[in-house]
Amino acid sequence: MPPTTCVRCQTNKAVVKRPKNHHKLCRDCFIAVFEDEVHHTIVSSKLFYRGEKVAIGASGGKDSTVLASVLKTLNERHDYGLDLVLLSIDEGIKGYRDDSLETVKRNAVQYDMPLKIVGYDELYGWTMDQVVETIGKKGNCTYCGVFRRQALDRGAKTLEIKHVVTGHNADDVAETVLMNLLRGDLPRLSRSTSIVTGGSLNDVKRSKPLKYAYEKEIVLYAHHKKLDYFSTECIYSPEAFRGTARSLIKNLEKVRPSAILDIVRSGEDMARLTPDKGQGACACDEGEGMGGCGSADAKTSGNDLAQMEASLKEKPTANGLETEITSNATPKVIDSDDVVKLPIRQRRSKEPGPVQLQTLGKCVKCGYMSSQAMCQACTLLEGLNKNRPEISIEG
Amino acid sequence: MAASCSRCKAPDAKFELRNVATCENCFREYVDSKVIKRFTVLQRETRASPKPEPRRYVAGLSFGPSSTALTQILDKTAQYQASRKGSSPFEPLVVHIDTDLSHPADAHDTPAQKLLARYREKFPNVSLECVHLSKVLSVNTIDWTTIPIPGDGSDVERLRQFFSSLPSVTSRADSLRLFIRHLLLHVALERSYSALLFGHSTTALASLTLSEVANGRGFAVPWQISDGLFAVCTYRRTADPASAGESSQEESKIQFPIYYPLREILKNEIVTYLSTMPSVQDLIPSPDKASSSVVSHKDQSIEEVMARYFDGVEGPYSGIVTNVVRTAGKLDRLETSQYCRLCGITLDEEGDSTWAGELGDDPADSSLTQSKGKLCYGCKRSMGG
Repeated sequence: MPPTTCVRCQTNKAVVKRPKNHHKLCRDCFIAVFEDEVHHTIVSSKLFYRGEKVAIGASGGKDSTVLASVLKTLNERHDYGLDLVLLSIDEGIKGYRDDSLETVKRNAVQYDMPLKIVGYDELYGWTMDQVVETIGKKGNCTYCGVFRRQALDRGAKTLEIKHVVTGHNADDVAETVLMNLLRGDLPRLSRSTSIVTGGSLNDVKRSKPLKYAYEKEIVLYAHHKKLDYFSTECIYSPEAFRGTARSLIKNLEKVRPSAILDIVRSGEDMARLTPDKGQGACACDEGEGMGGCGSADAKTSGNDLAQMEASLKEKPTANGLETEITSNATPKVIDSDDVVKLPIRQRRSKEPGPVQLQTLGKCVKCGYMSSQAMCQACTLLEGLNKNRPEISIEG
Repeated sequence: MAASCSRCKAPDAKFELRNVATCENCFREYVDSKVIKRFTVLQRETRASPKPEPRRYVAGLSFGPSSTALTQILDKTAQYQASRKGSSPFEPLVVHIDTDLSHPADAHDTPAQKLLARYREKFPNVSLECVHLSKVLSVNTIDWTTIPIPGDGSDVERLRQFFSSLPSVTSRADSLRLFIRHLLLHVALERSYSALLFGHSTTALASLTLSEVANGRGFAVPWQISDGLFAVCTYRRTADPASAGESSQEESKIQFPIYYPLREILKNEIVTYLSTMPSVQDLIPSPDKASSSVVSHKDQSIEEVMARYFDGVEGPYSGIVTNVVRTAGKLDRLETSQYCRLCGITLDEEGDSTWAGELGDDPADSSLTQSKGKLCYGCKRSMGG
């Protein structure tokens, strides 16, 4: 049988069968098509303006490495005039993050971009290793996810950058859509598919230029471009604990490859059907941010369904996330004296409907955007700090 | 020794229902009353005048547990209503769509008809009827010019060819579901029934919701799974073969109620419910052996993947199943002036143009340009890939 020729250039031997539509392409055409599609996304969504300073949330993983590589290529080819910076978060996980940060450091040299690393220890006074020591291996992904979302913003602010791009791919977005339906989370459903989030209240906006790129194609791109990336999973999130929404998506993709993009499309459409009509786009709950842990969304790892079910059964109205966590740490008592008094929210939607809208405000402690009086990170930190012994032995 | 029933205090409650011990009687009563409550809602919401008027409902029967349970409850309700003087007549028509394309449409003594005869014996208070799928070709709620149905041969042959021309198992399952829906709707409209009922359980609705999402029909979800009025367009056929390729004229548009009375009952609750009535349970054909073991992904549809997923989720995490349906129910039903000429849901032009802008032109879609503006995104996917 003669080798298949590329459907695009009709000359070279096809080496890639695109997972998305089964087109058979040669190496060069695949890379060109992939880059063109990301370029189209950037142009049609008007993601950047000339001269904009943009931080790439870089974990050293495949998604963010491909993002950095593609953005550098496109910035030069199409003369976007962007000032690109790599921004990495050091969660403080020995044997995982220190290694992946080495990759990012090499990327910084390879792509000739400045690199900024922000550590959890300097921002919060806790490394993830310490958090895990305190609360155990269960549920620590929640801490990591909440902390990372803020850390990226704070890192960007220290660099005076107002735009962070992350490596979220189509699989991640589709997973979030399904997860929010399973969770029954209408507000998140309405904003999770937006390509740009945050912005108005918060000074740093987020965007995901790879939103329409299949994870499989990202892997292929990294492979054929011979990119230097780090592929080990986080040691605290073993492979066996992938979210159920993730495995559902993989099954759907096997049955019909277009399903991933179809879910993204459905998610965008449904966002316009939610009570706040997809207007409340904010970056506070976009899952992992930058490929930090094995399961793409920190909230979907492991026993997520079980936790969700338990909270559904016990307290249908309480904030599920907080209830779960404090069962591992000290229960949070809102009205005790050493806690900041929470102002009562006055704003109400004009027509009292059955669905309550979330209102975006600022955390009373750190000023980060939050729909509660205190943001999640501060709430979690408070729980952690309470458990910390008064006098610690300085090593 | 089993606990006593938390509802009637009878000793030896055999079942657990929503986390409390329940006896057989209370279990049946619970399921019955949940469904009858929905009948009451349906009556209240569709009543045209304050005077009592006959309640004439068409219900779909697939011979599965849920639609069988619906038939059982319709039968029971009809019997009860008939025994009451002065109550408005309750006239259910239960219709099975025979999807077997291996025999001619007018064949007698088909397996489906034989099975239906047994249902007829068991449920004397409802009318039961078998309609062959090929009758869908005479339905005028689909604009047949927008989908590739071959013109030659018998209706059964044409349908068979159509299904085999579709690109995937998912496409076939998706079109089949739409055809059944249209055909039931057609029966209801043609014979002046006042509503169409489906036997979907909470679990089936959750699974349908996520299947619709995975088929790119997110926009249709609130239309597809909520109870209420549904816009139905009919199209005039152009008899002139010269005008083939042009789409049909939209002739009329009416609002018709479609309800899911079993929406508050989980699938495993229905199975338990039927197990308390062996004579009814015996009617249900045993499921295919293949469905329990994992088959090749190529032979599976998205519908099946979802059903399998929810089968696994429902037991331990029933709250999540309910969550999906409740969330989908909170979405708005947006209405535009155009309707998809296959699935009948309002077209989402805003979404279509945004999507086209975001993804750029896909040359693979060019073959479908003739149906552009006529079919929704999900139906285009089903017809084309």
